Amino acid sequence: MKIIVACGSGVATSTIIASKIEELLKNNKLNAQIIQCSLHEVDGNLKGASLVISSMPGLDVKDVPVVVAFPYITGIGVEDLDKKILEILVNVS
Amino acid sequence: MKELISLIESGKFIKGDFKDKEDFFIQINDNLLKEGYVSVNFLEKLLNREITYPTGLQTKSLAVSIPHCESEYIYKNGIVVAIFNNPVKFNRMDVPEETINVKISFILLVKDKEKHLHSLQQLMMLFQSEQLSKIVEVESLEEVLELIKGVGTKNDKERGDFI
Repeated sequence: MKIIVACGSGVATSTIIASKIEELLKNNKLNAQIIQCSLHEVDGNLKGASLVISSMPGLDVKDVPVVVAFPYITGIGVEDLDKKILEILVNVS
Repeated sequence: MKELISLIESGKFIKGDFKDKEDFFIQINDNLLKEGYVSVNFLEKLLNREITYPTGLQTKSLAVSIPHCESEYIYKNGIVVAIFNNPVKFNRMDVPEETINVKISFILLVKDKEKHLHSLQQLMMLFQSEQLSKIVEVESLEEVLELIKGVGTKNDKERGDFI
């Protein structure tokens, strides 16, 4: 399973989100390769990906589900987001 | 909060009045360039980044922003803490077409992103802490660091899920 984590520059918010996803995977005994990149690098990494997680809205991706993980930045709504991501991952794994 | 404190110590503290975010970026860029923190493209990259992917964040207590750009334009790691006497408008990261009135801006100078995970996580903890709103009142870098040391201690009421 391959998960792409993207943000504007691939530097700050994607780093936080990627660590949060690693933790979520570990706690739920799931395995995945996490690719961290900037939003305009998403297309190039898309092949074989099960999920794209972005820090902000507006990403136009076909055939792969996209989740906006903004709550991991502000801490508001984290539980719902965890649930949403897990549902998608359990379905593809 | 060790890693965050060390990055803020390596950065800069500024408190003042700015007309808008462009005015703020231009003034801080002069400083950062002179002191060798950033490359000559930094200002342009920072401005462009705010247009395409804005960095305003509405936390539970107040609005902040985390302007930054790709690592290749950064020479020295650090965080600039800027407190605005009068709020400066930034567009929101989650709703880019909306603006918010930002009181504190943290410019992230990230040269090595691998080394920054802990400090970024700690910055997000600060955003969810009651200490954040107290930073608006401080006058010096030392006071900022004092407040950050209090994040996550038993006197600090949690404002959300810690990251």
